[in-house]
Amino acid sequence: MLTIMDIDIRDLIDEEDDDNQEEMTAQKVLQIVERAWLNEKFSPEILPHQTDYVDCLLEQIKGMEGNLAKLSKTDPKVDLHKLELERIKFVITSYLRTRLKKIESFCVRVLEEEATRSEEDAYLSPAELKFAKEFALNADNHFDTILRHMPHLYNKLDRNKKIIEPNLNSFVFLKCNKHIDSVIIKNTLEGQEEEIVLEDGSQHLMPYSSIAEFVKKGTVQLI
Amino acid sequence: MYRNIKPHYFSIDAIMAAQEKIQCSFIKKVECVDFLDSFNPEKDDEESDPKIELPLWMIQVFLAGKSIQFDMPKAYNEIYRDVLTADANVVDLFKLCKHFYLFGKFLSQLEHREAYEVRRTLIQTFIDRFKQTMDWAQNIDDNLPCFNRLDCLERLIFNDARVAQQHLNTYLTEGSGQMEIAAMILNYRKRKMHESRVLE
Amino acid sequence: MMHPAEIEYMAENEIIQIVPTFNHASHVHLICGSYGPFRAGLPLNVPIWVALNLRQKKTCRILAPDWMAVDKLQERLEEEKASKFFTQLPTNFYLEITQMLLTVASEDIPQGNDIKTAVKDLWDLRIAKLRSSVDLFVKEGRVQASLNHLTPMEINSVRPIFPDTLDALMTLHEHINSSDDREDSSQSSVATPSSSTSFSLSL
Repeated sequence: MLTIMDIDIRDLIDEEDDDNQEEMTAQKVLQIVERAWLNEKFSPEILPHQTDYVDCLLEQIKGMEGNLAKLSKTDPKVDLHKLELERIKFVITSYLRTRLKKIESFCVRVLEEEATRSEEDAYLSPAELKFAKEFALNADNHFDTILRHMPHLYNKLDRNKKIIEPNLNSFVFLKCNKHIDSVIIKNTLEGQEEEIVLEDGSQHLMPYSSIAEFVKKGTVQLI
Repeated sequence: MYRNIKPHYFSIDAIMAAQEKIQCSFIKKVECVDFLDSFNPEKDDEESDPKIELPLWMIQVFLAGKSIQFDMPKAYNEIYRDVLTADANVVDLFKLCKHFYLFGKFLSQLEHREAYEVRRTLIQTFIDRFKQTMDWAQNIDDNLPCFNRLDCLERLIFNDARVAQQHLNTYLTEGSGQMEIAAMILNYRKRKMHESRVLE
Repeated sequence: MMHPAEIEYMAENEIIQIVPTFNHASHVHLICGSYGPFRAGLPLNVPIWVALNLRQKKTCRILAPDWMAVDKLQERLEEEKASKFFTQLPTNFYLEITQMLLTVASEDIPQGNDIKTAVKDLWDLRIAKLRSSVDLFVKEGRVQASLNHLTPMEINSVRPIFPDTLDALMTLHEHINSSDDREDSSQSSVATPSSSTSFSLSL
């Protein structure tokens, strides 16, 4: 019999949030990954990785594919399951590709910031970190190869010049999932600050830097 | 490519904008400029020659040594500032200066008595022209004549908006599923045609 | 940034009612939830992507959502005209759902063409409102806006021109009047454009 039971990944939750006694279902995991996908698409900077959830979905997909192979082709369920797997794979690949693009664009900066974080607070997954390091190394080698032929004063590229950073003040659209008492928005135009309240369910446009921390906490969803 | 990026060293647009020439004159003798000598065969001329044209990046260097003064380029002088203030939408910005905003911003960061006014004009011009740029990007089918009048920054924004608008228009008229099927059938027909030709 | 098809993907997760023409006693345990049982003639709730798949195989009939009726949509339209703000719609994906259902299941939905027209009118009206607020926002030089009840597809219709324009505008404003500029330019003693004097949207 084909069963995709609601899997229990309470272990994950316990580590992060003791108050959260809610059982983690596959459905919930899928929602988390879909939200992470949108956040990642719209946020100028790379966000903390969600590898635990992505891996969990990948496990599900693998299990499901195994089960499907055993089912008769004429079973009406087969098509639906296959279609769902394709949908989920689409989100996961789009999510991971978006992150890779950011790692490539902001490689030096991302690695520098990552070096200041502990393993638990890491923004990159181990695989992404490995990729970032290799990418940085290749870029350095590339510059060295070319700059070697330049006159003495110009044959080194200093670190600062290599840095490409996201503009954290970029404007983003967002939806608030939970009442937030105070959000400070820097008004670059007038050199002042504005303070506003974000009501539960309200939608806004504002600079990403004002709500970055809430995106990471999950109280704000980028749209 | 990502758009939400801070200014950086590798920006081609910034490099191009910094190449724009500015009329200037030296106010004190400059020595040991090495390879710059090729621009001014006789070094002494730098003091006596009233006006020469130098690229912006070079002017930055001399300004740091307080050995140079420059005139605001034509596109940013008082006359043009007045024209832009009167109606920014009628101006062919690209003709005026390819990198109008970027070069203008660089200029306004230099030591010059009109720097502040230049920056205000840039901002106001950008705001005044925004609606027109947006309307063009979202409405007009044949947009080349108006596109030519946008400066490089406006062109970047316009192009992105245009691509997004085309996606949306296609979606609104054909839907996403239909589009794929159409492309697939088209390819299939092409292949069929090709095959039949090979067989002939 | 976001392709309309990706927004349609999100819309496909919305739940609608179908009437199956087949029997399948057990639930289908999908990752996104369990649906069933499927009994011929008995309506049940499923995600739109499931409904579309079954409909394409002609194994169900799709029931148009309540709001998808000409008179209901006309009411919405009048309300939208009368309101200065964006009104709250029964779904976040009215355009996409209409589009999808009318493409795949037009026979199941009475007055399909009129519905299409009404939805298009509603969309046009809201987009026109959105564009004029966008213009006003830029003119007034604001840094925060409330966008309640705008749908993802509507928001996406002003992307990326709107946020990109604001970003560019803020960058034009940067350091205005401040002494940082002079420090910036004096530091650039090397004969290349210093990164501090360059400008966003440059890639």
